[in-house]
Amino acid sequence: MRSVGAQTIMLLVLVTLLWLLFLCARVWTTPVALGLWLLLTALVARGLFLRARLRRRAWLQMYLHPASALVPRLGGGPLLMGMQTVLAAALALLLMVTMAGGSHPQMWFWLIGSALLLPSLACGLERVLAAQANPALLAELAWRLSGVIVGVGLLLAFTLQAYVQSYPDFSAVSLEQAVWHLAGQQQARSEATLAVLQGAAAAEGVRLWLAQQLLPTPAESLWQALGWVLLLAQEALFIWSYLLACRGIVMLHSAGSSVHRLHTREGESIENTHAESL
Amino acid sequence: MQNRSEHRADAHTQTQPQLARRSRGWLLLAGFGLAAVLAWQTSQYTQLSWGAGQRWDVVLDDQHYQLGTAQLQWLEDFSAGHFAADSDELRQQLALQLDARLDMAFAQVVARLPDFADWYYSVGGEYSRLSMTLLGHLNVVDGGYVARRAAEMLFPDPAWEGALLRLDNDATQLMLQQQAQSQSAWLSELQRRLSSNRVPAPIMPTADAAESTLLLDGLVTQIQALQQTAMMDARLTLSTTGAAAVAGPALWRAVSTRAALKGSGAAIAARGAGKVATRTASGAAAGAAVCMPGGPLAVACAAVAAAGTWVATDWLLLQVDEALNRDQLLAGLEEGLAALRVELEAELLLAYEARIDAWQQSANTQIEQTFSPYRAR
Repeated sequence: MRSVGAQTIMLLVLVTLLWLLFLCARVWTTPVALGLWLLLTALVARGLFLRARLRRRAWLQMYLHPASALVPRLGGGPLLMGMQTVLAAALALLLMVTMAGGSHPQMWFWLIGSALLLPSLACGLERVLAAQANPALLAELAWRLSGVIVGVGLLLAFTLQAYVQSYPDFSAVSLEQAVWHLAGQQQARSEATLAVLQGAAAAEGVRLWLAQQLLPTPAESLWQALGWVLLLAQEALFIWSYLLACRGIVMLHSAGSSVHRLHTREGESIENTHAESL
Repeated sequence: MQNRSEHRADAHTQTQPQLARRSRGWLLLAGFGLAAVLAWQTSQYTQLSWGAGQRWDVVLDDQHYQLGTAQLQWLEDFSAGHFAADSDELRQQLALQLDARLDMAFAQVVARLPDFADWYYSVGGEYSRLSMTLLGHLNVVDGGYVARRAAEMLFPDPAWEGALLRLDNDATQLMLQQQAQSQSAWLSELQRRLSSNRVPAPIMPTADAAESTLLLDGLVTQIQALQQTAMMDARLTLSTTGAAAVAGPALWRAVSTRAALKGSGAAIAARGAGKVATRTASGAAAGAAVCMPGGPLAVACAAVAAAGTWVATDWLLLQVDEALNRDQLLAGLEEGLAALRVELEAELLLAYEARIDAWQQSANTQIEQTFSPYRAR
């Protein structure tokens, strides 16, 4: 287990990487973009794979006999990793597009704050839950709880920011005009990056146009405001992918410790069962 | 000794957690420092932008198209090239049409040649030529009677002028039609080629957007205005060569030149002198012979007899002349007509090409004026 300081520094390195990604997104070449995408995919996949394996282990423990030959086979191998990698690639792309698409200055303060808060909160929760939680998964549980708390905080902050942010007026224009207005403003050195950015901007155009056509005045009623909040829920996906990347980078040197500990406990349990049967 | 080593070991075990705590504290402090630096840096820099080159909003028929500078250059080249190619094609079509129309017009002139030859070898024609020559020598009338007569007979005013007018109208119609088709094809091709770059109309026109907007509608309007101007200016392009007053003398000059070159001029002169001598001699002889017994009326009788004999002799000599030289005269006239046709065709082509060139030049100027401000940026 790394110290809070080391984890904080690693998370800040991730935020720095994301900031550099934001800074250079328009001027990098396609190979650089591809490399960064693979890196972020690897980080997110790491976090996703751990969660998937834990879920799989819990399911196996619940439904299968510990001595079953299926337990090691279904424990989560290349297939599970492949599926999580595909999901991670999509989430990493979303993370990159959100970063490259431009950001409001407050976002960096919140991300830096989250990088400072996450390890400390996880450490505190680890102490609080030490008496109740499974020791093998205590750190993971503490991290996930702190991730939920920080994630909700970030979501609230981003949603609030999105709510008060000014948007182009699409109430009197066609959907095509709205989409082109945003997509046409995109410029990037890399053709692939440009295509992705234009796609994201087009999706943003559709979202804003629909929002302004269906909910013309967001401040008139609570329901309309709620509709806006729902439309802005894509921020949640961004935060989720960010937190997964955080988990992935923190796990770089304490990788799989929870799963490893779980494996050890499973092995001990199987051996005890085997001894009792003998 | 043993106590000292135990004491040292205890001190060592107590120092390890302290060192670990201290290093964690340093790491945390470094983390906060890094966070502060990062927060400061994020407020200092903005996203690096990539200028992918100027994009132009081209407006054509109320449709918007977005093009790069290279595509704009292509648009200009295509427009200029299109009108140049169509002008070349128009020249070829015009030359063919002109050739056919002149063939028709000159066929009618050739059909009139026997009438002119009949007049030329008639007694009336002979006497009118002689009278006009005499009056010309006395400065009573201008010379060139035969040339004028040739113009009247071969290029009669309503028919010849009408043929040339139709020719000119047909040529003008062909030019206007082809230019209209050329514009239409240019517009269609432009829209077809631009279709892949179509974008919706901008929702918020700004000053920058106005600067990067190219109104091709303006160019289309200007080129259509050229068409209107061309229709207004579609006046008769009758050449000086084609005018009957010029064509006739030119034709007769060509015939005379040909006759002179072949030595017939001396023969004609000799023939004229011979005619006079023959007429004088025969008239005098006939008058003396017929009216000798007439007494006091003999003088009047001799005059009448001499005149009759004079005319009869003339008629006879003209018949002989016609029999000997009519084919030569007709051949000379046909040759002169062919030369006149070539000259007329060249002159008309030159005039029409000047009109086509002027139109193309105007179109090129409009195209250049439309695109040059954007090319300079």
